[in-house]
Amino acid sequence: MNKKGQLSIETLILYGLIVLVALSAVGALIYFDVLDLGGYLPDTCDLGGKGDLKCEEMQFSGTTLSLGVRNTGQRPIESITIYVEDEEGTHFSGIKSADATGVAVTTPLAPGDIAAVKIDVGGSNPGKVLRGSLKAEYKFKDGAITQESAGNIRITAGI
Amino acid sequence: MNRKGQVSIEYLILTGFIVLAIIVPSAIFLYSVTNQNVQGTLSNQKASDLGNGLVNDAKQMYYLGLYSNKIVEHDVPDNVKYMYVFELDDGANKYYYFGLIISDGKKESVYNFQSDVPLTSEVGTYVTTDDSAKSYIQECQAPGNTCNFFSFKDSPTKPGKKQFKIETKFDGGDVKSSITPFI
Repeated sequence: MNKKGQLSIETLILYGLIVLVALSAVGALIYFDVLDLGGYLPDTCDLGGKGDLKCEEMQFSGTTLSLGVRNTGQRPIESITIYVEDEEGTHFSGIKSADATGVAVTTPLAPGDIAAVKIDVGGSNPGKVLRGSLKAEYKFKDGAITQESAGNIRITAGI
Repeated sequence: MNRKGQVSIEYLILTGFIVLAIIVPSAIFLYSVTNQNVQGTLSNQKASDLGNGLVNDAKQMYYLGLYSNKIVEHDVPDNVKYMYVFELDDGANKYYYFGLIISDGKKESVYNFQSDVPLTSEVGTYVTTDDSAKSYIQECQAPGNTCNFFSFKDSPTKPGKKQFKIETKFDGGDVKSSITPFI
C-alpha cells in the first residue's frame, strides 16, 4: 500500500477538526446569546445625510434613548425629529420618535449648537446592544422643504 | 529517489493551504461587511460635495453679475436615480434647490441643497422638465404649492467627474443662476 502523504492527510483532518470544533463552539456561544461580539465594539451614532446634523452624544438606559444632535450646517434649524428602529428587536419593536427639545421656529438651533433628543422607546435590556437605524427629519428656518437623513446607531444599554 | 525533507514540504504546503482556507473567506466576509458602510459614507460625502459645490458656484456667479459664467467639475456619486434643479413656489415666496436621489436598490437617500440665489437650468440634451422626483418632496404635493423641475438625465447622472456650466442669465424676467451639464 502506498503511504505517501499519509501524514499530510492526517494533519489536514486534525486541523480541520480543530477549526470545526472551535468555530462550532464560538458559533454556539453567539447563537445562544452568551457571547455578543458587538458588545466589544465602541458605541456609535451616525445620522448620515449631507452633513447638516451630527450625532455627538448618546445614552441608553431605562426607557429612554438620549441623543445629542449638533447642527453642523450653515443655517439655523427650526425643527428636528429623530426616528429610531431596533433592527433586531432586542429592546423594542416598531419605530419610535421624538422631537428635539427647545428647537422651534422662535428658538431655532443655530449653526454649531447642540440639541437634546430624548426618545421614549418603552424599555431596554441592560447590557445588550441596540443595533438600530436612525432617520432624521429637519427643517431649516428659511427653508421650504423637510430635509431627511438616515444613519445607524449601536449602543449598549445601561442600567 | 531522494525523499529528504518530504515531510517538511508536505507540512509547509498543508499549513499554507489551511492558512489560506481561513484567511480568504474571512477577508471576503470582512470586505463585504465593511464595504457597505464605506460605500455609504463615500456616497454621502460625494453627494454633499456635489450639492454644496454647485450651489456655492451658482451663488458666486449670481453675485458676479449678469452673463457671468464658468465651467466647474464635480464628482458624481454612484447610483444616482435623479438629479435635478427645482423651484418651489408656495404662493408667497419662491425657494430654489439642487437635489439628487441616490438609490442602491435597498435604500434611497434624498439630498436637497437650498440655494440662496434663484436657480434655473436649460432644457436640452441632458436636461428635461420631467418631474418624477416630485414624489420624493412632500411639500410639492401640498395644496397651493407648485414645483418646477429641471431633471438631469443620462451621462451627468452617471458616476465620475462631470462638468457643469454655471451662468447668470435672464429667465422669466428675473436674473437667475443656471446650472446645466456641460459634456
